[in-house]
Amino acid sequence: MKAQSKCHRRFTASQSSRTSLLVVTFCVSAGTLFATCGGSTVCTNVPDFTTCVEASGSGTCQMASGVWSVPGTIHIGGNHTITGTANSASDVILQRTATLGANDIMDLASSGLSPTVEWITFDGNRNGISSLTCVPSPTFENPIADLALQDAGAAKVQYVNFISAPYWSLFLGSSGSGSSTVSYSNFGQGFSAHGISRTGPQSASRNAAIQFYGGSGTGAWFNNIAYAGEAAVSEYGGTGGGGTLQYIIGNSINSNRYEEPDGVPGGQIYIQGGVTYTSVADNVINGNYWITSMAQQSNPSEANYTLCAPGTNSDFPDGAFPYGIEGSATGDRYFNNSIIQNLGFGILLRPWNNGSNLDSVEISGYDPFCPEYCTYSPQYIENNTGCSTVANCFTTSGGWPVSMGVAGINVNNTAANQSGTGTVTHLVLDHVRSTSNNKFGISLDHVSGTGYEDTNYSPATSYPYACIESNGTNVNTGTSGNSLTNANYTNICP
Amino acid sequence: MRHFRCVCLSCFFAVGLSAQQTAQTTASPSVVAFMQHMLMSIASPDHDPKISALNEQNLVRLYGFNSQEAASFHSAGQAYAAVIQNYQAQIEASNQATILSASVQVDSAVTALANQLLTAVRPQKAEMIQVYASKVAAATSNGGN
Repeated sequence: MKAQSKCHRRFTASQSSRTSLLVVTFCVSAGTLFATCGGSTVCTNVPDFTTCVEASGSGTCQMASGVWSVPGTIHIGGNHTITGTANSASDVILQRTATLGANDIMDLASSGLSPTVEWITFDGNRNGISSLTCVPSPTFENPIADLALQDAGAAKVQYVNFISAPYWSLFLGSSGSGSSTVSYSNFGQGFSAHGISRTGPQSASRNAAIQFYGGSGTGAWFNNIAYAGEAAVSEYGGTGGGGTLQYIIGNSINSNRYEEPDGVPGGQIYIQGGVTYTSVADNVINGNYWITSMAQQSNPSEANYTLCAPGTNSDFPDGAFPYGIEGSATGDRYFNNSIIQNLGFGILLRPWNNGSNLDSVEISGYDPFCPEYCTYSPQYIENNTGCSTVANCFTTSGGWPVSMGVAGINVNNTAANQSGTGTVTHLVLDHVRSTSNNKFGISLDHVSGTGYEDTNYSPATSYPYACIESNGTNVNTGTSGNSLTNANYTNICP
Repeated sequence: MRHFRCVCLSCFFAVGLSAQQTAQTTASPSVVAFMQHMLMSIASPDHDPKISALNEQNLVRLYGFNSQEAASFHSAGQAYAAVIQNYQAQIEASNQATILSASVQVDSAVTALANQLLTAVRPQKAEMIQVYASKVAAATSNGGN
């Protein structure tokens, strides 16, 4: 930043783990506050860093190496590049303090801003603040994130670590002509740097890792997301949410829905009604056969450790478990995802509310992100629905209704309360691959549309047919009310 | 730093050369960035090794790597981890100018690993990586400042 014309001195109490007392110089120029750092000058204390980030305009705000206690929400004031140390996101850690409490670590001062946030770690520090370690249900759903960019124009988040959020890790939204993205970032991957040592489960968020809000083109591209208490990626469709043409692509998703604070199973990718036309492609969504009844809190180094005792719900007395994808949004495209080892459904799609319509959804084995000249690797929905020890999980009588038969792929019209009478129209199943699922390979109930399709995306010449085999029962024949143009599929596995 | 990096990369090259050799490919900046994330996913020294192992399994699954290709990525991951550990040791005791210089050396090391990996995998796998990298670059190009 350029030199400023008017400078003042401000007395500031201790706000940094490295600095006991600070006298911060800041300058006023045309109504903008400038810190003594910014541009090529690295910030060495939280007040200066805050002043830099909260200034209007655009510039670079780089924080020095270390663990930095954040006592109050930092409000991004301009289209800045906010960064730590290049090539080592773990070197600069913005850590929640008890004083900050249940507030965002960083958010936007005004809507429509387009900051870049990179090479830094956001530590929600739920491990270190007892009142925030295990925020109870339903309080954990308070809209608080470690990095809250839901009102952004076109924010870019890349190479960022998110650890131990007491609520959500990241809110992301878009407005105007740009699109906000998070890429190459890590959620709940464990952490070991600067004296902080946490396992994967100890470093995960209490609620979802990423939540999308409104706008067009918001995307999560090639991130690592594990052990979130709720979904890895959730798309919010209520007031202030919605959005269209969003992207969830290429993410490595492991063992989310880990604590399940409300005790209710759900998708590692969860798309609410009110959102439209999301592309979900090339993700590996692995449940690792997790069910919350296996959880223990005695030894962080042991498998099955959870930071908090999982939530309970009388409808699921034997524990909760992840689905791969759970969606209720019109126009969604599910392309070539590997969905494996989830004890619930591989994919569960149904209308959002009683009587509402789930329209124009497609599940495909094609990979549109590796088109014509690119030979992609075929992925499978396999080894899901294995919850044979869970009462009612598999039963098609005496438990869930037949429409909810646990399957690699389940599309039905029941809505979330399982008793709705919505509609599912224009469903396309384009050379889907559902294999080795414990109960059903596929279960359709009261759906209409093209149905099975071998040629929707050309060329899918390498893998043109459906592959539904080696499931407990390949097709749930107990269902009814389907009206498909192509009700039968050609079954040829690669 | 330089000597250490050379030692680590030579360890990787020994494995990489045993994989299928293809025409030399030079990784673009977007491909280098993409492959840095791949390596970070499987071998970041700051992450829980258990989850890094799960990510490595997912990586092999998504790209359909054969055993040689998987071994190449594993070795490259170890080399990457060593480079980053050395870099982090330098960060703690250095001024900003030294950190910037060391970071440039990390960039060079990652570029070298990316180029080697592109020749260690089958052409169609290298193409997948390049296409995905270009998609991410396009998606993120209109965000930020």
